[in-house]
Amino acid sequence: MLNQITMAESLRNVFHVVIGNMQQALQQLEGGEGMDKSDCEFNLDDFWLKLRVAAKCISNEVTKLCLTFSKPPLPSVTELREMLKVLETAYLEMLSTFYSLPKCCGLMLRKEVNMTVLQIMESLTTVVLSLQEKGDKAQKNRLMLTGRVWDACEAVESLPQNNFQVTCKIMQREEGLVLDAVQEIEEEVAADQSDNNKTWNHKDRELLFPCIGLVKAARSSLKRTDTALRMKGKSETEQQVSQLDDLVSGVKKISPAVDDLISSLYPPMNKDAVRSTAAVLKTQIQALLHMVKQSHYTNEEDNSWIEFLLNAVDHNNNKLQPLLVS
Amino acid sequence: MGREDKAAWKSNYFTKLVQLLDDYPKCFIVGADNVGSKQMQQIRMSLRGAAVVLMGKNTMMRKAIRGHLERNPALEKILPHVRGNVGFVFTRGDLVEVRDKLLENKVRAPARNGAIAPCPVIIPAQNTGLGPEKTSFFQALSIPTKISKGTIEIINDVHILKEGDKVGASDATLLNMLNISPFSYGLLVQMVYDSGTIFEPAILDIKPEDLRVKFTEGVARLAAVCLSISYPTLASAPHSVINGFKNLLAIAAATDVSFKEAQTIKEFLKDPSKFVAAAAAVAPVAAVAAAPAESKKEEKKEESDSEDDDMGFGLFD
Repeated sequence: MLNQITMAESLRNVFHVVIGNMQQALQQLEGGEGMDKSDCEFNLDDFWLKLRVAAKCISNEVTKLCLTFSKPPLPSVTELREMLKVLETAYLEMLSTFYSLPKCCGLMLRKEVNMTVLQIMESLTTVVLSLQEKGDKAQKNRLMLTGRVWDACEAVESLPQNNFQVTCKIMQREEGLVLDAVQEIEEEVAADQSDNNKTWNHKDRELLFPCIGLVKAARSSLKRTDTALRMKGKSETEQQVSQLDDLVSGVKKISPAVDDLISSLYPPMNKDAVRSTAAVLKTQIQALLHMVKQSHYTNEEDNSWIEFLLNAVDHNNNKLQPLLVS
Repeated sequence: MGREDKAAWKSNYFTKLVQLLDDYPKCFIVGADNVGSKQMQQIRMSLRGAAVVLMGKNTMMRKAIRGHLERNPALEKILPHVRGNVGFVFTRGDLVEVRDKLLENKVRAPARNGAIAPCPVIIPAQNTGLGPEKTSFFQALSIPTKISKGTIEIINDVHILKEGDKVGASDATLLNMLNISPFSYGLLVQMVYDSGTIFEPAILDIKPEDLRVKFTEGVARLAAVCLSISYPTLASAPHSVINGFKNLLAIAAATDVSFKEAQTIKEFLKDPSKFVAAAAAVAPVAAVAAAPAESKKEEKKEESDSEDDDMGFGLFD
């Protein structure tokens, strides 16, 4: 009996140290920055190989640990210490690989990898913490937590490989959100028409159309930019990489501005809110289009659609302003 | 809803969503296609005490979440999933239990024209009880029928829709005429959010077997690497031993050299009729000692050594 208590105590101590280390690493990771060697000769292929191997190792080690704890007898302190040591080596390898990724490879790439590594570390810490719990429910719950580690580790395989791919992924996601907003408001307007115009009164309805026009211009801007980006975008030089970073930060402002405008349109419509949100969206689209015009992924051929969209923004805004005054 | 009600609803909506995000550590993002308001009411009732359902406009949901990111940055992971006809089911309880309750609340529904079939639909062979004047409906879909006692009889089971097919007007009319409601709709879990992480609902169903399968896959990979670089480990040693044994058996089979474990194979090779008798009577275990002289024998052995197959290596390949 005494022996069992001592063993449980020793196991707890082993866990205590390992979990402490993990939480420290996690905090550092959440803090963001870490080391940056700014090494532009950095080899991305090596980086991905190392990161994939490390993630696979973590996944395997977690499987081993959870299988060991799935039924008695529990491992001895020495066995547990050994297993956790291998796990620790694997996650430290992953972290040091992540920290080696220099900023010149792209801020967005770094952020994307950071999020995945963070997800692995969070799920890993949770699963190791759960190893100390006993009982059927804890056992069942641990299976789910193990699955989350597998999932997080597998996500490394499908990560975009460079800043260009990250930008394409984010463009597509943001365009999808804006399209969703366009469809939502169009469905609402159609429902209003088939419901004898009960949703909006006549005056409010007048405001709807230039606002929807503005939202559609936002969507077209994202779509056109996405097409140009996929055809001509590159992330080979530092300048190209930083242009892509700028594009992402511009693009990420569009969907929130669209959602704010559309939310303000729902009854009861608040004209002040419509005025300010429409102004924000207009400015964001214009800023995005001007930036796109100066970038490496557009050329003279693209100027026509950029000008067209800038005119569309002005046109809708000009229609909207007098309605907002009255 | 009057103008004031709407004003209150709109301002309360943001507060409500933020409150729920603060109060509940877990939620499901659910698809609500084809779920009517009556069914939604039933779902809310059956979840009472266990979970809270919140639907709404996606633009407003995203706006509320973005407004709350400063306090809880992890919520950013939810944003890309707020697309299409979706809602939230918040809970503090067991995720699997709440998910099961959602599944219990599926309701059978008739096939509507234009809907996408979520499952295959088969019309069983039957006497439909319909008069011969309805034959044209069956002809439109090339369903073979015959008239039996003045009513239409479907001769064979008919695969009318595959999963993912669009329901045509004729399909819908015929299924309704036959009183077949082939689909069942309910809130469909698309993603799960739990204390800062977001994951696929399939993870809720991981079983102890999955853990073992994953482990075995790892062992097989390790064994494969070790065998190919000739670096013996616990995982590869059994394969090395059995490969060596196979070589010995092969030599014994082709030469006069003999040893105890090769006796059986040698006897079989000398007199194959023995094998036929043995194979008819027996048991896979006996086959382990036999050699792969004939393809029939190999098949037997694959069955018997499932454990090794799991590791990705046949004993007698």
